[in-house]
Amino acid sequence: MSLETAYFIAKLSTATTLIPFFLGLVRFRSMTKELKLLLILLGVSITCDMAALYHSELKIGPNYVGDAYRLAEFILLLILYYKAFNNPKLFKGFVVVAFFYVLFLVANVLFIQQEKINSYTNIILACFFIVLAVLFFYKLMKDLPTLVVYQLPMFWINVGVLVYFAGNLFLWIVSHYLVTVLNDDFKIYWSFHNFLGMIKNILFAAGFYVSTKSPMKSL
Amino acid sequence: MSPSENQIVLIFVIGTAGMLFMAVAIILFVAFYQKKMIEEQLRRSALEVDYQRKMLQAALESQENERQRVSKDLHDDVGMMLMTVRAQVNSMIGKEFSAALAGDVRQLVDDTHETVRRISWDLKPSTLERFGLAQTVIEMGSRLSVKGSIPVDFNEDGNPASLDTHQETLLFRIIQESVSNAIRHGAAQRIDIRFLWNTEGLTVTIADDGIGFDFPKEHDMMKVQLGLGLVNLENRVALLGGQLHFNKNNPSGTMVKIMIPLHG
Repeated sequence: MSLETAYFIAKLSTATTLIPFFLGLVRFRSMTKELKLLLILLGVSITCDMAALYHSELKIGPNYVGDAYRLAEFILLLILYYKAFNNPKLFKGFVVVAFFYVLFLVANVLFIQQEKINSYTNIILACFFIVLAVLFFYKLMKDLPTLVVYQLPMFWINVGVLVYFAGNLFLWIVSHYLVTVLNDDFKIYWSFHNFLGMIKNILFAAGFYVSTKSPMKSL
Repeated sequence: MSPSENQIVLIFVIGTAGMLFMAVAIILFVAFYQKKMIEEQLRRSALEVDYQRKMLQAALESQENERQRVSKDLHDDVGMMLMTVRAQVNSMIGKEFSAALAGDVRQLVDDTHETVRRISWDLKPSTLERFGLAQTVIEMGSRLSVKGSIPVDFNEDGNPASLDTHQETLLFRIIQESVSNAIRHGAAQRIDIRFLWNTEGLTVTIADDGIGFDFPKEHDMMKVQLGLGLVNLENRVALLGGQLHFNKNNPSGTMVKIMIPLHG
């Protein structure tokens, strides 16, 4: 795969972020807090993607951009799931997890993986959100809030999160070895990551779309 | 020996495919199974609504039947008797006093009074408040024995606990309905009523030697087949927080078992 093709796929992935972002902007006033958080995350994603694509012009290390995005993604998704679970008992647990994640992210940037791809934090992030996504599905099965589950915006968001993190988990597990030991240029893997990003964005767009159709404001 | 790139790629491909397969499987399971679960929940709700509707219908029908029975008794018995008294009194006007005729009139008035007492007892047995449930059941049995020549035996075991008036009335109506069913639908020739008191509550069994009926296996189907009378019984037993069971009696007939818990 040529570098141009890889860049094209990366740009296409960034472009697909615009679909849910604009859908969200159109419906901003009537949106739930969960969807507003997702809209903020999409805004951060677009900014970080642009910064990563033009990092040399901006003179920023691409890994720092990635780390900043992962941190924002973690915090915003954590709040989104906290609101979706609607269970105050989870607050303390989520705060503890957030504290240790941030601690590990900083330690990883400063002492462990440093300038290299910070895949370790991504692995923790993926594992954590895969578990949350499965737990959210369990909650859906238990509570049965609606007859047609596709009408729930949070269903699509959860599908997006699950597919994205489940698909990327092994990529992040092997990425450190591929890049540092085998000196792989990582283009195919990076493109696969971007392809999953596109699927995630389309699923998020479906979430915003059904929020305009669904009579249910919550979930 | 460190793994080659091919091995790493293989781990990546298999791992990613496995994870994506798991994710898709979970999503599909949720999407389809959740719908099925809700449909099942809706079906149960519909059944519950149907049952509630039947209970209401049974209550209204029972009330209407009672009114019709009282109306018929008043019209056919009391009305006719009073008309006869009136005719007798009319025939006495302008005539000399006849002790025999006056005796006839007095007899008619006594009969009318007795009929009014019977109707009143059927509506609300006075025995219930004055002497309690057991005595009222015995009185009901003796009335049936006299009226229809169907012997009704009553036995009571254990230490009777006190029930409030509302509970006693409901329980008496349940027994009355069961006995009535045994005579009307089961063609019973003999009925045994038994009270068994224990620490948990009261168990009432009403056994007859009639023709009985086939018990459907499905509880809901049973309600449909046996109709509103059964719904009425179930309704009353539910109000008492009890349980109602139907069994075949040995060698023939039906046994109705009512278990009422004692609170406090």
